[in-house]
Formats: sequence, C-alpha cells, structure tokens
Amino acid sequence: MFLLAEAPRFSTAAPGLLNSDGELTISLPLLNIGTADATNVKVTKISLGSAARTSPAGLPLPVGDVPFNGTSSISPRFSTAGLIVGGKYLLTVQGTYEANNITSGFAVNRYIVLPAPSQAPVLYLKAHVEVTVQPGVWTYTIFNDEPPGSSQFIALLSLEVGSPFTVTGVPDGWEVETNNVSYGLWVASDQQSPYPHHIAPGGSLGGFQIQSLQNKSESLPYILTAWNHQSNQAGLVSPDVVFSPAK
Amino acid sequence: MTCTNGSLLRLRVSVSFRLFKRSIKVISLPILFALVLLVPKSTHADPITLASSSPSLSGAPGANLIFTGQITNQTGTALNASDLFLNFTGFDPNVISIEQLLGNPDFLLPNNTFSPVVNLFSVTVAANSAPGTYSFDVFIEDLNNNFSNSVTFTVIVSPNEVPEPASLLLLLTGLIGARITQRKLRSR
Repeated sequence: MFLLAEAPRFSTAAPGLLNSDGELTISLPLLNIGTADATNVKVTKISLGSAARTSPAGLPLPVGDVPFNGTSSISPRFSTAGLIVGGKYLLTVQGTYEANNITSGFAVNRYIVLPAPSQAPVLYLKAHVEVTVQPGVWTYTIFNDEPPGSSQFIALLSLEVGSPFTVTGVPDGWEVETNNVSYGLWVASDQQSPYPHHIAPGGSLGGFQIQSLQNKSESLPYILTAWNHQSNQAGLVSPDVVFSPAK
Repeated sequence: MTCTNGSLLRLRVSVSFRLFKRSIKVISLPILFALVLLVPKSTHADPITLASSSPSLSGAPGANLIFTGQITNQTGTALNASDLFLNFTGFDPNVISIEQLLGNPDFLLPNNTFSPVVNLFSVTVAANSAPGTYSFDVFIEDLNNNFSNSVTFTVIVSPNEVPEPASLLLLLTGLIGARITQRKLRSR
C-alpha cells in the first residue's frame, strides 16, 4: 500500500528573466524530481499568458533525457507588447516524455513577474533565421536585424541537424562544411574587406537548403555569427533554435 | 526441599510465563521490523496540502472539465494563489490538455489557513478521444520550492451521445404525421 511505481515527476525552479529590446527571454530550469529517468523529453507547447512567442518559432522542441534528480532547461522568448512591467503572467510548458516504454504527457506552470527592461546593453547579435519546410526539404533565410549603421555583418550560420541529410543549397559567395549527419556550417567565403557577401544590417539572404529522408521537424539550435566590419574581427553571435530534420 | 502441589503449580505457571515472554519476543521482532518497513519514510506533514473536491470527472470527447479543490498553507509564510504552481505528469497527451486556473483570480492564503474550494485547473478532452479512464498526477510547488502531496485525478471519457433508434423512430413518425396533417388541410 505504500509502494509507488517509479515514475518521473517534473517541476521548475526560479527562472532567469531578461527584458530587452521588446522581448522577454526566460531561462526556465526543468527538474525531474521523480524516481525514474525521463527519456526523449519534448516540449510541445509553451505559453506566457496571451503574449506572442517569438522563439522557438516551431514546436516540438527536443530537450533530450532528464534523469531523475537531473535538470535541463529551455529558453523561450516572448514579445513584451501588451505586457505590463510588474504584471504576473502564467508560464506554461507542456510536453511528452518516455518512461517504462510509455509516452506520457507533462505540464509545468509558473507565474512570472515581468521585470523592467534591462538598461545594460545586451551583447547579442540582432538577427534571426526563418525556415520553409516542404516534405524532406528545409530552406533557410537569414535576416540581419541590426540597426542601420551597425558594424555587425553576418558571416556564418551553424545549424544542428537531427537526421542524416544532404546540403542542397549554398548561396553565392558562401561555402559549406558538414558531416551530413549532425551539423551544417555555412561560411561567407570573402577573404578581405569589403566582404561583399556578408549580410549587411537590415539585409537578408536565402538559399541555405538541406534535404533529408526524415519528414518530421524539430526545433534545434543554430548560431549566427557576425563579422565586425569596423574592428575587422569576429563580432556578436545570435543563438536560437529553428526547425530542422527531427532526431 | 519438598515439592507440594501448590509449588509445582507455581513452577509450571512460572515456566509457562517465561516461555510466553520468550515467544512474544521472537514473534514481535519480525512484526516490529515489518511495521518499520511499512511506515512511510516521511511522516511529517507536507507544507502545502492539496485536497480535491472531486478527483474524478466525466465528459464526452471535446468536453472542458474543471477540477476544484482546497489548499492548505503550512509553509510558515503567507502565499498568494499566484505563488502556487501546478505540475502534472503521467497523462495521455493525445487525450488530455491541461490549463492551470489557480491564481486567476488571485487571493491571499495566510499561513496555517486553508482556501475555500477553488478552481484548480481545467482539462480539455480531445475531440477524437476513445472512451476510457485517463488518470494523471498533480502536485503544487510554491515560490519558495515547497511541495504539496501528489493527488491522482481521473477523467472518464464517455462515448459521444448518439440518438437512440427509438428516438429516431419517434421523430420519423412525428414527421410523417405532420406531413399527413398538412396534406389533409390542403385537400380541404
């Protein structure tokens, strides 16, 4: 009568909050305080009241395995438009996990208070990647969202991929390095100033494409890296997640 | 030393009592050990207690069910309802979708008090769910990482109601009757 079946149990810890540039970034620790490992954890829904989610753009978001007494984390971003500083908003994360060969659902909740916008400069590159997905084909476009006059020009896209794939699109003036299994690394091939193929502030570049036999998508990490044309050295980075072939 | 009937009796009683005491010791040790194993490891009260009003609700596919309950705060500090976070595990993600309602509206829950019966969370049953019984576990976590007991809730998905053959027949008869009456009225 006191014996309980071993099972994962999810909870959260106090999240890190950053209100900057009209976006709230939440670093939410996800804890397994149960008595069994949770494998293949995937987040299928993230919401913060009625705020618009800006990242991840697509779900599911694979989290991986969360062993018992283990912790993982997710970092969604929301637009702060319509939210009030000091207001309480319910953050909900729902998903699935596997334990004892059964897929089950979990949901964790936490009210968070919107902090005042950060006054300190946040040294992240303002940029994002958009993807169009057709069966077996993922096509990416990079957007440099830096303000006019910024010295941050995008020169590199590093993308994590969950399944074996083939690179089928490389924009002019760029080259790619890949292991065809887990990552693709597109780099502007310019060797010297004025680096004509770097993506300028306010500009965009499409044509980054991969194909895979896997038809399912998951949000997986990518990093955009800029080259600082003023100091002529590596610039800011923009890490985020975007749909790519699922694991 | 003489041995009388009385002393013999006393001797027998004494021996029997010693045997009884020994046997009690022999029997009681495993019982005591078993009791120690059976008693829950943690016997202290949870700082937050979750008590459901109705741990089991029924609904057809597509239904929205609201689970209610009471919360007792023994954390040592006053809490707002929005300081309490519901965590769910073990549900069928193809059938159940859950939304926390606790905290909206907000209310104060002083230390060593219990709330009135309040809405805890709602469950939406997927429109294509198969009839059956679906259970899941819920516990509360507060702002200061205090946890409540875990409570198992159950959603009983009933089949969608379809008109019975008898009802259909009745409806059909009514329609035919109405048609006949209409014709008769026209022929006059």
